[in-house]
Amino acid sequence: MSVYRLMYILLLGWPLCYGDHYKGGTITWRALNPASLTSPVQLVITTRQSWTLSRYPCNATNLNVIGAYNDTNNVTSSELTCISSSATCTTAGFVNISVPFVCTDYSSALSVSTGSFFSSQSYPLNTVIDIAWRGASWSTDTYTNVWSMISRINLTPVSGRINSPPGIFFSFHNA
Amino acid sequence: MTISLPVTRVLSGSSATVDIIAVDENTDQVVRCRWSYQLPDDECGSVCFSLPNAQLNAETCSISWTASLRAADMAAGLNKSIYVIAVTAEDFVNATSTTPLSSTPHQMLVEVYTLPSNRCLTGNPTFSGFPRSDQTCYGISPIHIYSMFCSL
Repeated sequence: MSVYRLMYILLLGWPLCYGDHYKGGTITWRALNPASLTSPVQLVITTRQSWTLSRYPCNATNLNVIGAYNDTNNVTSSELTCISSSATCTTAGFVNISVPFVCTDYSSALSVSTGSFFSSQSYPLNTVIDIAWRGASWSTDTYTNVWSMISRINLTPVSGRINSPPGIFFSFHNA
Repeated sequence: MTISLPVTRVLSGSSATVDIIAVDENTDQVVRCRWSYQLPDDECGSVCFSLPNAQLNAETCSISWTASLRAADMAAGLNKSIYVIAVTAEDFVNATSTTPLSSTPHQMLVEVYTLPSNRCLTGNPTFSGFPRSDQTCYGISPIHIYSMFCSL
């Protein structure tokens, strides 16, 4: 094949999310009214993710006015996807969730900014799906590459209520 | 609700404990923590089990490990290493159940650093003043001024 055709194929194969900028985060969800067992169940899915500050700039100004908070490389941001079986995801009516973050925190000293996004979704009662946040890459100094995290959404009533998943707070101390 | 600093700094050589306070508003349920798994569903990408020699207690959700710099970072002349913690919290109907109801992931950075050899600090800082104890809540009155002092 010609050189030009080979270059074209190589460029198409390059990951859309050019790497070295991810610094971790979390996904969680909650039914708006856990006591309501009518279908569909209305949820708020929350995702909070951190980034290299230079790639996702944030300062006191745009944080306070909830201003623009974007990837300076203008790459396509990852979406929340459903990784359960195709049939399960389709039955739930899951559609990929785009995540336009707003900056909620930043630190120049640590070279990190954090964004959050709250998404309102509805799924049938008794839905059990695993949603994922995946992409590339982690910040270079971690010596790692792709990121992936999964949260299980389970809308099967427990004790007469829609279950809430566990929340996590990290604290460090030296032994 | 999940709250945490995205990056936490730990002094190299110290025995660090990460207390993961995993709470569930369904107070009759049990929460357990585990490292996020590569299989079967890839919960962690390229950062699975990437905190060296760390121990995770499933019931207390506490991680223990001795912080150290990465060999590659030391070889490059760096005085810090960045690691990733990838954990998954799951809730169960009771203590004997082994089938999780739901799960939440949490991945965060740990920066292990060394102090420069010419540092002024010769020991850990000491605190005095307002009494404090780890993971203890204190009720404080409005208007009163509470002081805590850090001495080097």
